Amino acid sequence: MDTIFEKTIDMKHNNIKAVEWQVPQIQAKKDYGDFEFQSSLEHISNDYLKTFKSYRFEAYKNWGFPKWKRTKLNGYEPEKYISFAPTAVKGKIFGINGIDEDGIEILAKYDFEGAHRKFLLMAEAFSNTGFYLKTEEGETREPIIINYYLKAPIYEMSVYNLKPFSKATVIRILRSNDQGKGFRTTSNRIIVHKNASLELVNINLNGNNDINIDNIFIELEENSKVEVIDINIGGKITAPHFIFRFSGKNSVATVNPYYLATNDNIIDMLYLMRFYAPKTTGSINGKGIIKDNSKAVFRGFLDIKRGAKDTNAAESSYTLTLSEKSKAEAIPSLTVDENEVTASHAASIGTIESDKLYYLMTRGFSREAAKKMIAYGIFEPAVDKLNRYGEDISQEVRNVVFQRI
Amino acid sequence: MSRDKEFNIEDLLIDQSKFDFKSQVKYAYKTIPGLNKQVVEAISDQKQEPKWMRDLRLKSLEVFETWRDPRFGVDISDLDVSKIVAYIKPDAKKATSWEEVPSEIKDTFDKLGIPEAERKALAGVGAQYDSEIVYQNIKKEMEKLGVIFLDMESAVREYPDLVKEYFMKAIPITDHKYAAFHGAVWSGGTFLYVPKGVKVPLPLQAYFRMNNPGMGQMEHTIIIADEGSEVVFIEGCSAPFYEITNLHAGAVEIYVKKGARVKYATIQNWSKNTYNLNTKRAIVDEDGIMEWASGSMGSEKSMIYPASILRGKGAKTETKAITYAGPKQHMDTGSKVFMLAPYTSANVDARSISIGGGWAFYRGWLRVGGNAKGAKASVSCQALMLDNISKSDTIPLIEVYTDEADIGHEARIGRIREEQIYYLMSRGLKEAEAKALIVRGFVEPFAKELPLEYAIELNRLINLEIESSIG
Repeated sequence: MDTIFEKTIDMKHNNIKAVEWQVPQIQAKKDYGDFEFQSSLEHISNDYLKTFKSYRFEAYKNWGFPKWKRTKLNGYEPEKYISFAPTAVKGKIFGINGIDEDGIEILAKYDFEGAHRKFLLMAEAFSNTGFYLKTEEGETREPIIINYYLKAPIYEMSVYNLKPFSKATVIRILRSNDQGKGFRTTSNRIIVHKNASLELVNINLNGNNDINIDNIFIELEENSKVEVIDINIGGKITAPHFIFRFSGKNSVATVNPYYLATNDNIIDMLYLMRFYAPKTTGSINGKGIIKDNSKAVFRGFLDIKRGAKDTNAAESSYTLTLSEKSKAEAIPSLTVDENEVTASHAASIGTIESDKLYYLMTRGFSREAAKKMIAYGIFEPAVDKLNRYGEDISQEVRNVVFQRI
Repeated sequence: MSRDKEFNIEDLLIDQSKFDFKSQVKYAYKTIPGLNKQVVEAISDQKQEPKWMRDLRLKSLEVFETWRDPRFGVDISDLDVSKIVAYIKPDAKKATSWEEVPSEIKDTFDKLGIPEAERKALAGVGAQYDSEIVYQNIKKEMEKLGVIFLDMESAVREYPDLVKEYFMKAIPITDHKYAAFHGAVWSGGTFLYVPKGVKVPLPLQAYFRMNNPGMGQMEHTIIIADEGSEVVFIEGCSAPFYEITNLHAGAVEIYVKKGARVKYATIQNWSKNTYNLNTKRAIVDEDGIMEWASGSMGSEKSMIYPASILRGKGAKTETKAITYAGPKQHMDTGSKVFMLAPYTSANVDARSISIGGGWAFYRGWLRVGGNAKGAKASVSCQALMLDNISKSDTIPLIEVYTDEADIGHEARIGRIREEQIYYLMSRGLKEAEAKALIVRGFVEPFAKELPLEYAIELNRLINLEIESSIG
């Protein structure tokens, strides 16, 4: 079996190499070892899965935790290990233990770096939750809602296997009690076979001290379609990391990230679309708000490989800054090896236009209320869309946004 | 298409033949290859430098020896500094008239069209051959206005305090490894001071020519535009092709004082065996304006990001850049803007052309500091890929640390579309002519920034007159 490993940054062209930034690593004083690994196997009876996890554990030992400049992460000391992370699920989906040979093949075939290799391997070696979604060919699956509670560390390893011509909708909601230092790292491999389609909604309602690293790899086969809404609110470090791998022609994906950072939150996002096949279409449209001392880093990467003729790729981001001390960073990236394509990116960072503010103030709103209303406007399309998955969900997100801005 | 065979993509490649000639010139002095204390001291001795400069060189050497290579950009692992000859002094006195320049050297500059350009359109010229300026002249009227236009060595001797105040202040020796390298072995370059309120009516020019194989050219340029003054400075460079690596690690430091305006235009056309690791930086005070027009055509590998530090209220910068990446070229170019004061503004228009397997990489850095209230910046990148074996990348970094700024960036890549070609062909152009016309249009905003002679030269450089080449 050919294995596929997607590096996040791939800096070479023909025989020419470029220097790639090497993220410094720091060894944890007390890293997870055999004891934690064995505990993580407690809930697993599937031998294939055990074998896969043991390979990942071996690989895990070779890495240190990253030093991330932009998120001020200076290595990491793992929290006390708990072998089970509570989740509440609505809809038809297996636990990862229910993975079949088909699913194991996906685990073995597709690999990626993740926000950092160490965190990806951590999620896999020490998984304490995870899901296996497999649709039947031609099936339309009822929406699945997965609720995560960030009380104890979450290590998630999941596989979604969408068979040809099937449809699925998955809503992942993470809530934090905002009491302690919540930690989540995940590994999600999503294979959307030909003519299948997926709607994925991530809602991360992080507390101010939480670290949440969500690693998601999506493979798009011929004529497949993927729509993602990724909402990230809060977090000491919130790092969504998405790779869309367009391997089949005519595949289409859009991702709409929304972010809100307040207090000392840092949200460092990476959405990478890599195009291999012709006539593919991808778009990344990020929008967010930063306030107080917070920071948002938006990385939207479009990487078009030779052969991906007639690809249409677009990326944009807009960050609204509400406070003097908040920091907005954007790193849009467009790397292109194929000239018969349409590709563009745009990034903008700005403040509330004063005429909009004055207009609302002349209508009797206080300055603060007017600011809030305008800022909320950024999230409105997301909240509207969430309505289709249940009013309670959209209401919850709406309330959290209003509370925090 | 029946006319297909008439068009050859090779015709769009830059014609290097004009620059690829070698001259037999005697040398008065040459250091051994490599970089060590003896080499640095020998250069300093040759130049009979004051102690502060010698100390700066030695300090730079220390930094160089302990510093790591840049952790981004082109791969320079093949660059062996121990094989680079850092200093070659041509056997020629500094002349102020072309008649005094040794004939072999004068021939070189004649072929490059420098004396002719001086007569026609320039207020002054400096010409550097390998490590030393061999010709420096400025029109008498300029001198009377107090404009100082000297080779750097003479400036170190004649205006020590002025030079000391500015030398490696915008680009400290600790900035990066090749800034330290430069500090240790710099040679030649221009010192230009424009007094308060003086507006220099014609451009001044410096031309740098590397003639020897395996050498490094490390010229140092300082421009100080005092309050309310204005000047346009043009820099050109070229070298013949050799099989072994040449290194260019120059430094340009520009100080734009209150209300002054400087335009710095470059056409870099080093031969394809050159590593171009150049550093250019401007510090702009209140209401000052810094304009960069930067054409990167030559070299095998380049890392060049002209930077503007806008530290005064209302300071402005504008960058227009064109990068050409042909066969085997890896061009990592871009721009840096640091907006550190209120109401500063920046405009960057960066374009690249990649062809024949070349790699054009735009790397940008725009930082808007906490004090830059009311700052406005817009960055635009456009890449034209002329074939399917080349690569065009754009990675800008935008950091905004204030809530009252308006910042935008956009980029797109493209090719020449068939319908554009068909349209032009339906108007009677051949395919090659049509392509050339489109490329010319793409380069236009940059070409407009150059004096006419140079714009023509640029067009020739990109060999846009492909009509004639395919008959």
